[in-house]
Amino acid sequence: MNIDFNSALIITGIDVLMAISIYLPMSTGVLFLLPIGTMATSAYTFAYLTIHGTPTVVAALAGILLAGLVALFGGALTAKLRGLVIAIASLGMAEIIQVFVQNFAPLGATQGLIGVPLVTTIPVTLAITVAVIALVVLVEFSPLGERIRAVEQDELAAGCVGVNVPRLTLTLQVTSGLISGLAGVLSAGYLTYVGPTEFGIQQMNQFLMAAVLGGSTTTAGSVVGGVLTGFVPQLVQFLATYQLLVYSALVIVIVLVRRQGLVTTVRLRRAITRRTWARKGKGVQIQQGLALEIKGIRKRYGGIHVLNNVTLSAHAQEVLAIIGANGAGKTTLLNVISGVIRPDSGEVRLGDDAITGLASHQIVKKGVVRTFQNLRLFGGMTVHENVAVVDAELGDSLLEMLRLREVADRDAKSLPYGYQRRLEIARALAAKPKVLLLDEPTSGMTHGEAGEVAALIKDLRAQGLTIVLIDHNLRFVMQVADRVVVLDRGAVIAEGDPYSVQQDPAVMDAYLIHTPKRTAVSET
Amino acid sequence: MSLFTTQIVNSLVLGGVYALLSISLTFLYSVSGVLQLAQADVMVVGAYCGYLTTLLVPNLVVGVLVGTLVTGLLGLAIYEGIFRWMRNSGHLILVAGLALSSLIEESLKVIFLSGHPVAYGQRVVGNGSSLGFQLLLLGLAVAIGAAFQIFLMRSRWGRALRATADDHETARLLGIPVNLMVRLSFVISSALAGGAGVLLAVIFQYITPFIGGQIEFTAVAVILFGGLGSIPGAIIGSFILATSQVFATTYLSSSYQDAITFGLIVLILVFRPKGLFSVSREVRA
Repeated sequence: MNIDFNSALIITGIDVLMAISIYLPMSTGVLFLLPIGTMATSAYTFAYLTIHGTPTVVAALAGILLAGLVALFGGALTAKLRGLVIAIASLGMAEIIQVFVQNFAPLGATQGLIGVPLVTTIPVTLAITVAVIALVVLVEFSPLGERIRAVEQDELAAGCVGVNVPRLTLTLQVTSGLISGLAGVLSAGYLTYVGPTEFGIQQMNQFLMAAVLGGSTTTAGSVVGGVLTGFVPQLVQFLATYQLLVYSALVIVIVLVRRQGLVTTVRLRRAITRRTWARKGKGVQIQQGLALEIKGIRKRYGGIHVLNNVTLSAHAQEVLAIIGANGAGKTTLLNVISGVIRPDSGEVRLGDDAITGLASHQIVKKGVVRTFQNLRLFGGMTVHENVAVVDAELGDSLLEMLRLREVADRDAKSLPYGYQRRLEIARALAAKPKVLLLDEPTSGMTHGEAGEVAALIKDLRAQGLTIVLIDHNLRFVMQVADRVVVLDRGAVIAEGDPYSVQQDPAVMDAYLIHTPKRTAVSET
Repeated sequence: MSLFTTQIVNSLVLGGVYALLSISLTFLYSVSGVLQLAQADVMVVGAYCGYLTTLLVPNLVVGVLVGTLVTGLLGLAIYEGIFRWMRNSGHLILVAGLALSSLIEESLKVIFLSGHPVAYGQRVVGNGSSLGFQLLLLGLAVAIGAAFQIFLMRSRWGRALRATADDHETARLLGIPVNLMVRLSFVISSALAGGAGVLLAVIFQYITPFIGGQIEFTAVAVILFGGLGSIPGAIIGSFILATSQVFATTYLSSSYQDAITFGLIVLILVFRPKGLFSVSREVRA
């Protein structure tokens, strides 16, 4: 058997770099397939410049930089897209680059460019590959890695605990562009040639396979995948015509046998991060609450006014409950306050600051943090990690406070319902809110569990926090609220202390008469 | 016939074939949740079957029938061998599809002379570019599509399939054998792709093992335009793309034709990510 180890090593290095450049955006759940295009951009730039006498290092830097710029442009253009749509849109952009180099005469059209200096040696490839792997592993094991995984789990929730999702995804896309640029330079400097056929969908498929096959949740997966796609075809070279046939059959077998990819490093990572971060062990400080004012908020969908000139305010350090029948606009109002949707008009003020129209993560930074009615935890992450996304240096005291310490290392999605609700509150508190928004905190809870939440809310209020909550459970609302606002069909119809609101005839009419029995109101 | 009319007819025929492939992809996706990236290669298998059949029996309809039958069985094999075991495997489903695509391509390459083009014989095709023949092809595409649509809308099985596509859990509660429906969707969609393959080979006047790869991307883009899972959307998307391709080749520099196709795909996806015909919905957080 005659294997060319030197070339296999260099090809492996390039494959690993390309797998990493797909893995990085994919770690936030974004399948971004532009790297084959940015690889081409940099390879062609490097080839063209070196052939025309530019020093190697300058040409390489120019190529890598241009690849980064193309990724920046592509990432910005597709920022709103997700799922398959971004995969196909980004692959389409890569294809445009390929068609361009295939037709553009100065870049040799279908002939490509020959005469690139041979600069890619084994030491160079190894040094670059190892350096990139080290960098990416460092990120994976850092608090930033936790935020990246949170975005992958639930983008909206990540934004609502303070992660700047657009900036994070774009940064990863640009980094991926730069790394694929490096791979492009290595490839051109190894083959001493660039041609359009090296940068097509087929090659992209190979790199995508490398990234996913090894295990798409960790850098180690990209490395294993890269070695696989780099070396295995060499190993089965003796099969000649059947080489690719056997290789693709092998890939299918691996996919079937290891459905999560070949390697994961979850346990190792958790063991390390849990130990190092817990050591810092900061306690959580409950902030002094600010007033939240809502003025003239309007929001329509189609012809329907979901919110029609809603004006209300929560005073500093009080518990304000917003109640109303289904469809009254409660959740929409919460979405407006927390920046999930923009109102058509109106203003939201926190203390003296206008926060209307800010993005969710900015509103969190200002001090307004929310929970979700239908629980949006980072389900595949542990209880500890859910909180670490917000603040990695927080110790166990917060978990202790919400009686979550004994389940700190369990996956959030495996917890009983009541625990999950408490974890959502813990995660929100980790963001140090000045106003805490609770969207139906007792929904689906037993009477006893609701009582515990009530005690917690009273305790937080006593420590100075402002709390705005929505709930259907009237008994619970009467128990915890200082004041109650009643919404009906997008407008405020009553406001006051719990007792007087309960006696208000307009409220009886709008809120209670709609449902046959009072007990039915406490259900979701 | 003027150049313009010819191009209109060409676009319709090409669009019809794209539509069959994208209907098969989007139907399979909505019933099984699998985006089967090797579907275009199943189509190529259909093309080869049609070709081999017409060598024995010089009749296009027989070719289409055999092509459909063989690819239907292939679809069953693909489900039982691979996708049955891959529920909820995320991106790995795409990788399995890519590997399968390469497996089919390589097998065809080994069997059929390392990828030399295989022309359909004159005696089957006649004058491939005549208007009458083009209309026959379009008619066949429409017939296959219509038969499928009638099956979906009118038959018991069709109703059960649509219910499964809507919601697996509810369908199961209503006593629909969901696993059987998913299996069936693999068979039917592959057969549909196979039938389209026979027609495609006739239009292109050649087959290579690799034409699947070129069309796959287009087909996936088309079903995204139309809105994933929507059959009317897939049909309209197919005709838009086919028309733009045919006219770009005729009236613009043909070497940049692909750039125009891809540019169009990127633009549509960027500006209408939910498909061309979507309406905006309320955000539920």
